[in-house]
Amino acid sequence: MPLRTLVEAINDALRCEMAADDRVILLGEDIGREGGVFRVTEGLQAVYGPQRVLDTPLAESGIAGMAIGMAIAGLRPVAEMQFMAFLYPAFDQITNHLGRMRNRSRGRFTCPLVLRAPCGGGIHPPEHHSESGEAILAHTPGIKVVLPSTPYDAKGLLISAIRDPDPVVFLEPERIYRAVRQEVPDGLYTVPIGQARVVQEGTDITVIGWGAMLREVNQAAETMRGEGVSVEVIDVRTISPLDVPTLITSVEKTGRAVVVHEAPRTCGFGAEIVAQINERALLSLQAPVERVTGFDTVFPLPQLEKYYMPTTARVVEAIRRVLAF
Amino acid sequence: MVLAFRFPDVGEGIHEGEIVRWLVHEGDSVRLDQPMVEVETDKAVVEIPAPQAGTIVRLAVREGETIQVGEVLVVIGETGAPAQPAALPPAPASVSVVGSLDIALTELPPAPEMARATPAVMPPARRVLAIPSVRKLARDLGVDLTMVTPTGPHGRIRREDVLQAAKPSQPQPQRASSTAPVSPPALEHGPVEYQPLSALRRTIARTMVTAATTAVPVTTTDEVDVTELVALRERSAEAAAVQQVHLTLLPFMMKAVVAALQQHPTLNASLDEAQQRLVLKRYYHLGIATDTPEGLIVPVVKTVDQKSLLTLASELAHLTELARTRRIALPDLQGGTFTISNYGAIGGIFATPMLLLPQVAILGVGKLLRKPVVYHEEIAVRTLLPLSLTFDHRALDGAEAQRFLNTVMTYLANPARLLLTL
Amino acid sequence: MLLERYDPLKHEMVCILAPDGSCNAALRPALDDQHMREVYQQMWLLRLYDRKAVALQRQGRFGTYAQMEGQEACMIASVLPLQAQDWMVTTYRETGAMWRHGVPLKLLSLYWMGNEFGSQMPEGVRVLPISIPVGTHPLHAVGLAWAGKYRQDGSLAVTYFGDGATSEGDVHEAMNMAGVYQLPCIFFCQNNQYAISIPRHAQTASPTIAQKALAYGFPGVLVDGNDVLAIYAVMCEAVERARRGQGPTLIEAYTYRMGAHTTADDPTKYREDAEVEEWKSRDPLLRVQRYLQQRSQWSETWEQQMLAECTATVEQAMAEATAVPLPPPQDMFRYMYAEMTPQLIEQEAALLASLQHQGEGHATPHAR
Repeated sequence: MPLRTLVEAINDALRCEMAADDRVILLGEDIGREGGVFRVTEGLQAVYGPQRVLDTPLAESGIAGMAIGMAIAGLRPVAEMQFMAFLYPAFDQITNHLGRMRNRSRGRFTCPLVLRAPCGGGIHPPEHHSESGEAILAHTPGIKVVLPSTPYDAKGLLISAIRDPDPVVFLEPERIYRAVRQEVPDGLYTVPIGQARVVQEGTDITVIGWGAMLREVNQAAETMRGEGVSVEVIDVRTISPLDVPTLITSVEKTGRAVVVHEAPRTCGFGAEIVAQINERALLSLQAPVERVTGFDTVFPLPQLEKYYMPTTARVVEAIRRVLAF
Repeated sequence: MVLAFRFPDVGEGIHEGEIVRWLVHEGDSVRLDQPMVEVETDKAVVEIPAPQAGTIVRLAVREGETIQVGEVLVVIGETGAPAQPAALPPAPASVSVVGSLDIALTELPPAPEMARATPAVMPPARRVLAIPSVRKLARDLGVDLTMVTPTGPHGRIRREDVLQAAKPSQPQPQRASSTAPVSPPALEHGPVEYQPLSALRRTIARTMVTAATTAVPVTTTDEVDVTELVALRERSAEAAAVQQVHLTLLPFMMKAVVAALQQHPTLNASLDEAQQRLVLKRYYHLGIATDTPEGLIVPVVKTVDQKSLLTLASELAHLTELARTRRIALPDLQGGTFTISNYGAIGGIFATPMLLLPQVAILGVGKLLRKPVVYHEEIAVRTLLPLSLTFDHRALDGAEAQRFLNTVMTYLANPARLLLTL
Repeated sequence: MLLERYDPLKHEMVCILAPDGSCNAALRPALDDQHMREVYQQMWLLRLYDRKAVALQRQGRFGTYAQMEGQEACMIASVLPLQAQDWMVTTYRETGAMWRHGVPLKLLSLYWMGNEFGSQMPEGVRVLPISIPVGTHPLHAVGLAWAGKYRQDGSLAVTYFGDGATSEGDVHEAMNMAGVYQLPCIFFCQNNQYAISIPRHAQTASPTIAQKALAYGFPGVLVDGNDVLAIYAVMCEAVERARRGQGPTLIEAYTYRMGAHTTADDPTKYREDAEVEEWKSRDPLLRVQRYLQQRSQWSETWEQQMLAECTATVEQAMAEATAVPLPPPQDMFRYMYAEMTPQLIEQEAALLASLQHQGEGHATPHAR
């Protein structure tokens, strides 16, 4: 079975699904001839032509709005926002129409589309290219938000997203676009949206993360294993709708938890997870749930980047604190 | 602006107080800092001054009533008549491009930022530290968490502590509360008189229960021949009287105790359960249990090792006087490292004095007895002093305690030896 | 032909039916008398509906409502050349156009009464729900038009918006993309001179809105928005262009908002009565009436009868809408996704439990 990077897995998902369903149309800036600024859509226009792989004008709100119209008309558009930060101009369309059309028309008109965007930091880029806005999206009713951390999951989840009858925002952690490789099967398969994954089982503490942070989380778990601590690692995978039962089952077993995300701290998605644990597993807790997060600051330029993102060390510290409580 | 002044924590974790006497009346004008009220808290009577100048609008608690920290004590208004609230303007027609606005005629109270006086700081209520599952266990078992001794880190109550407290051999009495307790059913078999427990009494009760249920008190007793010491005291009394100091045996006993403590430091210590350690004190503050009309009070004489017998005697007299008249200040009730209970002044031989936590030992002194004893191989009538040393067996063993007691007795029996330590 | 001849840069406006009822014979489109009487009746239906809606709002039975009085010509004439397969994407002031393209009056009334089922268009009716965020919906028409072109099914999309909307970035993006992809998309701007209280000249420094199309590479035309014949003629040309694959058109219908922005607005605050009076003389219904009279297609009897029919139609629609029972609270949760998420299932149950506790019974929830 071939080993694929995240980029290759996503590319493969698009390729396979476009072959299977001719309603699938890709659109975005520089995705056609250029193949995308991260080469995620490389080669697809050559295969499917400019009719199905559209290079659009520089207009994110336009791309999103047009995709809405295309989806209402019965197509399955997969629109790319070049970076998470440039998804923000499309927020009007996302919150005011994308998440509402089905409800507004009582099911008569729906928007089965996917908005893809690279997210997160760690690639030493100029300003604005390191955003993590999954919490804002999760707070928007009517859409689904997916954030894979592995190539296998990315392909399966993207195919699920394309097939989903509702709008899905598919966030791709750019830091690990090419940093990890994994066996990814050829052909079509799906990973269900709305299901978290227990990456490794453990008994002493649950560590919950998503996206690029899984790397730090897994390393921290490894470090703790050397100290005789059994860590259960969970990859959330779908931010919204969140798979609450998997998280609760784990916390009820271990009694302790740490949540890790690179997005800013206040009102980050970790807060929602802590609230859920509080509501459903309070009596199982032996310690408060800690969050290891980015800061309530603008994501810094490359020279300060390493201080912002949660490191393995910070995750380990949090784990130790929670264990020692 | 009108200030509803709340009863503050006037000394290191005080929770409540009893109003002894109001010094002002409703309608009086008060100056800033003018004394308003006397409140009894644990064992000290505290005077509370006015936090702002103005007119006393309302005394919120009556004399004899109990007030909790954080409750309103007194309401002080501005001097002069209060302003009339302005008439509300007529409601405008509902204006909105979409939807419809409710027009409310509610006037909100002024914003807190507008109050000129510093807002009263609400001290935190006494905190019991326990995680939710432990709290639930306590609830389910009917255990009062305030009566549970914590053994977890940072003073936290652990599950085991709750289970321990729930054991039937250690009944958990309810914490004395300021609200009226439920009256017992009328089971009297004759006329009765009700005597409400004073604040002091309630405090003593609380303290005793805690000591009885958490410490492991063991008492060892002995007698010491103090014939020579008594003679020494009598000889010195006259000289002391010249300085207007009434010299009793107690200062000598304090010196003997301190000398012994210096040689047996583990008895001059407190048990820190949270950190699982003995804290050996390198200072010597002796608490002297004192009987007062209201009950037992323990003033503390500081740095006994550094004071002369005369100074000690003088200070003792002063402190016990303050204690008896309930004028003693809180600092004089705190900081003790070892306690002496001279119940013998009233009567009694041997006893089992209660530990004053977190101290690990207390020495009870009974009454002097003229007794026939074997002295230099012959029967002689000597003056004997009964001693009862209670120690906390969690911190110490009997041998250690007895050795300490032996040292004390050596000094008491041989004043010349005691002199060498001064 | 009109699109080429009338240059918005020269402020040339297409007028065929004058306020006095006379008609430019050379430009007159193929709308026979029968059709014109129907058009007239339909315009009256809209006007009566509009007035009834305002009255109901004042009685608390309609929510906030956006009046269309004065803009009836746009509402009817622009829809005439459309086919059922064509998409319509509107703002909130196109109640009339939506009806004309197939949305029952009862449904529209249900919408204004505050029930989402008012936007559950019947199968086959290709009208999107009313879009409130100004200027955001033309992009949807762009997407719909793109799909039509991609499928080569001959369908097109028409999107309506006001003069105010043209200041929004999304409208620029929509027209730009329509131009780039040469889409069968018609941009119909009802310039009714006001965006709430902001007059047209304060909205853009451009002398006309129609000329903005030139910047996007396609034709724009300025037309008398109270002239059914001019609108119809221009619309026919735009539709033809679209069907032939020649790309988008921008039509600026120069009209006037006779009423307030919405039922809660007070226009006396920002415009003069004299202005309103002046526009009354250019009323779209009046000139059609005069036209019919001049062609002996009108009689008082017929007018009364026609008005009575319209009134009955309006009353019936209102009655039917009023008779629809209030929706249950479950409706809030059932239409967010194809399948309710666990969170929504739980939240619905919690709300129902709370209502039950307060004494309001509702059917217990069941998973969809």
